[in-house]
This record gives sequence, structure tokens and C-alpha cells, in this order.
Amino acid sequence: MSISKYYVPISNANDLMQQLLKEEFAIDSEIAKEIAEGVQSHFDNLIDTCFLVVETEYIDKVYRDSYYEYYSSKLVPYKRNCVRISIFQSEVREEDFTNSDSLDKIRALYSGFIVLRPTEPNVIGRSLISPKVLRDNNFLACSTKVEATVNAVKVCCDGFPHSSQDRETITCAETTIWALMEYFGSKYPEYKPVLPSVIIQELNKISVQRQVPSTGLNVQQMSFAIKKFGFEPRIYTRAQYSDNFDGLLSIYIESGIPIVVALDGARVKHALLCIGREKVAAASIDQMREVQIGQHNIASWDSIRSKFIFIDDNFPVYQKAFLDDPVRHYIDCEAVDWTDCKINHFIVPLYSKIHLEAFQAKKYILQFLGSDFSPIENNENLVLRVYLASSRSFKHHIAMNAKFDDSRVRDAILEISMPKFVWVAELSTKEDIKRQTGKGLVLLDATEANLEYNYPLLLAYHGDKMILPNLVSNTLIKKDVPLTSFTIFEGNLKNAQS
Amino acid sequence: MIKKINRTAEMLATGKVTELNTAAHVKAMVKLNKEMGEVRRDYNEKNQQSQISAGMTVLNS
Repeated sequence: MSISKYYVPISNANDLMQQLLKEEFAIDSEIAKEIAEGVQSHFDNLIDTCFLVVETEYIDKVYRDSYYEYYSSKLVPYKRNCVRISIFQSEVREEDFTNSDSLDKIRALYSGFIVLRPTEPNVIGRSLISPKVLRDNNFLACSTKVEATVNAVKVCCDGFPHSSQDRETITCAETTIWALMEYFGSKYPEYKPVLPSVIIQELNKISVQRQVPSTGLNVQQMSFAIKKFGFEPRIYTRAQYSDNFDGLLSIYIESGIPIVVALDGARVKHALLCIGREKVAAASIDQMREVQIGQHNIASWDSIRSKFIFIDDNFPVYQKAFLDDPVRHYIDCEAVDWTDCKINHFIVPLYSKIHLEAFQAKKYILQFLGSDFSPIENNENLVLRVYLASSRSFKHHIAMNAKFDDSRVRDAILEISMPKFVWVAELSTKEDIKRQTGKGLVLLDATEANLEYNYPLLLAYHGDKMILPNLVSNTLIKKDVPLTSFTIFEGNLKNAQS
Repeated sequence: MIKKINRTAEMLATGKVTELNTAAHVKAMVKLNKEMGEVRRDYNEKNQQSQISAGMTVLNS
């Protein structure tokens, strides 16, 4: 069998889908029409200039895994191959793919792919779409580079992996784990992408009944799987963390860590990933409320009410929603069973050496800033922005981009011996942070879970005061430094527009 | 001899450096330790209850 190709502007996506479903998957025309209507939203989200290049007889590793583990054992025959739709920002032609002079053009315009799998009606398989072709891409989100080929030409693209569930081998829970591992596995050498059968295999070890056909997973099982794949996860529940819950989720998102989110309603319970947030408007910064910490008034960046970015396998990639209104896109589609759904749990896939988690880290930072050890000397109205950062990325930012007014504070930070990850608390005012400027820092050792005797503290400075640990006497020392400001660190999340 | 560079040591060698080990600081340290002990106990309790709750929510939609 040979591969057929289609070259189609996105305005013809509906006709294209119907034709593909009928001709490649042998689906009845009326059913194909209904399925095509159902998936049209995946294309409606993209800009009008997009162009689609389709290749048939595509061997998708994720579908093939499900095919051999499950679909091939069914009486009804399923096709083994998929169809891949590649997305370009603007028109490309067949001859471009055999002309070396067009290679740069193809690579610049390439914006991802969607795999169609023969598991109707849930035909949207593995996909990765660059946010730069979205109509609405005013957000910051986790992103990874994935390599692919189109018409035999090697290309690559930045985005976040996505797939819809097939509702037999994988439900929302397994799809969420797959997308999480696909992201981490393609970005960091410590992790590997996992196929659905591997997820099922791991969960079989703790299951008392069959895993396939899947009936879903509970939050504990999801955390177990994430742990088996190399992380040290933590589970947070709204009932336990109450007012801190949304703030903790926001802190981890600010740290560039995709979060597994559990939506809980009376009739519906759903898993999805949270991977980023909208860019914060100046008005939202002005509306932040301060709380009294010692003699200072401090507003937390994580208290800002902004929309977060979700990877939801029931919808196209990069859905936006508020944390207190997470199912707005379901309600807008008149899915009445979803109206009472709230985010009641989330799982954070932490790197194994991050021993200090966000709840304790932030509590320590606030107590420290309100204590006699605080470098803040005057009663100030401050904004506190807390996040995890890799010390490598953070030090690079400090060395190259932070634009310190005075080099002494910068040099002190660069010479601190740090673990792989540090907790960073940037101190600014509302006006400063609108200009991406900070005037103080607290750095904590993320490997130090013992909060007593200021053990986690690596450095604190604000205004003209710097606090450092004296490693000889196990106390703290205070040093007068020149007043300095710096550019805040924004390296954890990628700007979808760039 | 090859020059060894440590900007932090140079910075600390000039100007005023105050050791935070007065009686008031020790008292502040004891207070902070107590507060952090409560935070740790609070977190441990929340974490245990979160795990229990997590076992009861099956996600399949």
C-alpha cells in the first residue's frame, strides 16, 4: 500500500475530514459527517491562513500500541494505520517538499500535527500544535520541542502533547498520564515517554481487577503511576488546603510544572493537565489584596485571578479557564452534568530531589519576612512572587539578563552553592512588577525539608540589606549592600506568541 | 601564584557585617522554629488526609 497525500487550506477542514473518514477508515458518510462536525473545533481554534498537509497509512506509535494490546483482539476488524494531518502557518505546495531551497520555508511554517486514528467516534489521536497558530495565544505555558516528518522532510515544532481518549484502552486519566510523560520524556533525559500499555502494565500491579477496557483511575492510582515513571509526586486536596489550594496550584504553574488536575462533580469526574496561565494584566496586579505579615503588607502573585491553560482530552488543546470556573467550556457546550464540577485535587510531579514542597516553602518565606531576621526594614506594601526554578536556569538569568544595578548582589547570588532546584521569592512593588522589575529576593534550598534554624535559607535581600547563612557558626549574618533592582525571572513558562 | 576570585568574600571583607546572634535573635529563632514545627505538623496532617481523599475519586470522564 502506498501513502496518499492531500493539500488543503484549513477552510476546507470539514470536507477534508469527511472524505478522510469515509475513504481511509471506511466510515458511513452520515456518521463521518457527524464526527467531522464534532472535531471541527480543533480547526476552528487555528488562524485562517493555516494549511493542512495530510498523509495516509501513517504508523502512529501510540495507536499501534493500543491496537496490538486491545483492538486486534476484538471480533470487529480495526485498521492498523492512522492518518496524519500536518499544520502549516500558510500555504505549502507538493513541490516544496522535494526542493532543498524550500526547506527553510517548510520548517519555519510547520506548526504541528494531529493524528486521526480509526477508533470512531473518538478519532483525534496524538497531536502537538504550536500555540503560534492559535487565534488566541496570549498566554505563557509549558512547551517542548518535538521532531516529526512531513512528506519525508524532517521538521520540528514547539508545543504541548495532546490526545483525546478512545474510551476503551484509555480514559481521561490514562491520557493525562500519557501527555504528562510525553512532555517530560521529550524534554528531560531523566524521563521517558510511556505508551498506554506501559501505564496499564504498571497499574495492573496494584489492581484487583482488569484495567482494560478502562473504567478510569482514582487520583491515588494516577499518583502511583506518576511515581513509577520517575517522579516524587505530591497530592493536594481542596478540602485540606482550602484558601491556599488555588495559590499552591498557581505557584507550581509559575514554576513551569504541568499539574494533573482532578475535576469533581456529582455525576462527572475528570482528569486533565494544567500547563500555564494567561499573561497578567496591569489591572489584575492593581487589584491584588495585601495581607499583614509582621509589620509589612504583602500581596501574593499567586492570588491573582487569571485564566489558566488546560490540556483537556475532551476539547482542543490549550483551553483557558479560571480555577474557580474550570468547566466553562463544557457549560458553553450545554453539558449539564458538568455544571457542578470543581477542581478538588491536584497532583504535582516533583523531581525526586525536591524535598521542600510549596505549602511549607511559602509559609517559611512569609514567617521569615515577618521575623526579626527579615531584610525588609520599613513598613512596605510588597508583592511576593514564589516559584521553583532550576538553579542552572536561574543563575543564567542572573548572570546574563537580570540587569542588576550593582554587581555585588549579583555576584553573591552567583557564588552561592545551590542544589538542582531552588525556591525563589521575588519581592517587588505593584508598579515594579508591572515593569518586570524586582527589588528583593529570598532563595531557599529545595532539598532542605527541615524548616528549623533557617536551614533552607540560601540568601535574602531587600533594599540595602542582605542576609546570608554563616556556614561556620550556623547563624545568619547581615550585610549592607547598595540599593539594587533586577529583572524578574520568567524562564519557567514559554510565551505562546514567540 | 594564580589569583583566586571570590566576590562574596571580598564583599564581606569590606564594610559592616553584623552577626545575627544576639539574645533577641536567639529568641526570634526559637519563635520561628516553633512556628515552623506547627507548619510541618499541619502539612503532614493535610498530606495524609489528601491521600485518603485521593483514593475515593475515580476519574473517567
